[in-house]
Amino acid sequence: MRNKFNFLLILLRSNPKKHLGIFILSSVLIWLLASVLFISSSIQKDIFATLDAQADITLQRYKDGLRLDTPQSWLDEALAIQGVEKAQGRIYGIHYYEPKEEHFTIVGIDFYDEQIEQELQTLLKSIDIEKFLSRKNMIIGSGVKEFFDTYAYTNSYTFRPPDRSKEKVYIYDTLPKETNLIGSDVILMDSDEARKILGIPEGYVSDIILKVPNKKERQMVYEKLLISHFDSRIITKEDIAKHYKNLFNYKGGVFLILYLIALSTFLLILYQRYSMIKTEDAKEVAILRSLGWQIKEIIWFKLLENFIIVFFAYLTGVTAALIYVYYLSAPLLKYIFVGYQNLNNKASFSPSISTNDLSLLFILFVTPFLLAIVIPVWKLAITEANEVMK
Amino acid sequence: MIQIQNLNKDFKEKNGEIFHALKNITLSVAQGEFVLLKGVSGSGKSTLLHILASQLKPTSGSVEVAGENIASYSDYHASLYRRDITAYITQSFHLFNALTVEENLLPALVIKDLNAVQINAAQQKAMELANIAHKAKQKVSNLSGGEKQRAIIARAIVSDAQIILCDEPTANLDKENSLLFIEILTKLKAKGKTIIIATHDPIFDTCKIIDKSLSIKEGTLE
Repeated sequence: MRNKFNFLLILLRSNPKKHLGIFILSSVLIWLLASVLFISSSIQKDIFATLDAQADITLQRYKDGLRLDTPQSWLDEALAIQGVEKAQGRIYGIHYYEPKEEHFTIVGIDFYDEQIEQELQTLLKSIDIEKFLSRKNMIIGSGVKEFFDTYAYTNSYTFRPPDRSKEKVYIYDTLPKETNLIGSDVILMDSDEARKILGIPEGYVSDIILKVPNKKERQMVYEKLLISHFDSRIITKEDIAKHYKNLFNYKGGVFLILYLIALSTFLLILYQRYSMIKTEDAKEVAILRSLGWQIKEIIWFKLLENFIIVFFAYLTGVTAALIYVYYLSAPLLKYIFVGYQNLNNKASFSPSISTNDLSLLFILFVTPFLLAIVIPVWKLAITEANEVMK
Repeated sequence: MIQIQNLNKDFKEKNGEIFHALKNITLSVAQGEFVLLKGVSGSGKSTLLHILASQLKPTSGSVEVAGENIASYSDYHASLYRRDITAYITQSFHLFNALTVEENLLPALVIKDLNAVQINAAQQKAMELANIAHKAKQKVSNLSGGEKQRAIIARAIVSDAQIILCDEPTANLDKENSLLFIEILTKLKAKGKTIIIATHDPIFDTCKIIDKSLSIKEGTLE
């Protein structure tokens, strides 16, 4: 066995060009699928981590399919429902930059509110609040920053609220890169300023978020809210999670179909290559047969030869995918998955590598690859030796 | 050594007709004999050699080699037979072109239970006998036709086979290389090998080492 393996290595080393095409194609396919796996797994990890920190129930007022501002008085009503631990009004909305048809998400923050969301608390720790509030300031996502830079809004930007006044707000800072996945198009500012720009009157908020720690009580809270606010939309955390899951499953599914088409084409080429009786491989099989190699020895030899190629292609593809996704932030490919935001997203991906996924990828690629080879090699090996030699 | 009795081989042609390649061949070859099989192309020489090399099964008749009927061999036994008993030399240069001469000898050795030293010794011995040792490290693709043929001989004899079957071995060689080939065969005969050559090359007509010269015509021995 060892002698055969040494001979195989000599054979592979002496004629690397013979397998170069298959090696490159295999590496590219594995790189593509591994990249998709890494991106989707990383995004799901980040998104679901974000979802965990979000409100259990969101209450939004709707009329004729349009979202309206929600009366702040609903906060007390919500708090009166058993199981609701915390109720908070949010100020946010979309700012539309008409000349370029771009949208930004304005989020108003009450910087002195102790019940501020955990994520924002961490974010705002590094901010000198007094300095920030000393004038009209905003913190912007990197997508907004890039957009502002393009149009020379390097220091400030003047918003046009619905009352047609002008609100000049200074750029204080940019959100950290890690928040890009959800915060690329976000503008954070003081809630009073946001209220003014978005035209939300006093006594109203954009929506209300509720904290219901006991999961079993959420359905009951949901139903009570629905009874008292039948003209509202009530979104649970589970709804959002389902929405994201569907979104990624859909995108992943589309990609999987494309990948399967590419893989099938590749396997077909591979099968054809090994089926051609006059190729270099057929000659090799013939020589081995005439020298006394058994059919099973030839099949194992060819399988091992191709396994070595596909194994190194797998390592190359996965390494390239790791660099592409986690070092280069997956240019081009990421827009398929994170393109749901308003602005060009500069999201980077936090490492999320599952050995199960990698093993599955290996099995899913290697098994059909070797099957595409073993069938024609077996057909060739069982042909009478003199026929193969012709 | 070799006993062939009433050997027949039929092939089904594309139009469905049966072509009788070999008809009632009966032949006996003793150990160490040098047999010349003469005949024009399509006369059945190669078919007979393929059957003797256990690369092809006869339609009927028996082929006994050292007392065993090789016609009834399974793939496993046929492989062992090709590995240990016979060596097959053809006019086509069936070699691994990307490998060197000595590396081309490996596939005949790696299937045997040999260590690196034994493999090396066998390679060296066969290459010297085939007069190609000086090209051991050369890639086969860089060799001349005569050198390639000698590399094939070296690979054929590296496993120390008892029976050497040659199918038109000089068809692609010039006179000088053909004579060199006969010289190598002479050495092999001196070592007690049984040699059967199928050819229509007249260079063998004057060859002194031939023990038996047979003519085959339309599948029948004359």
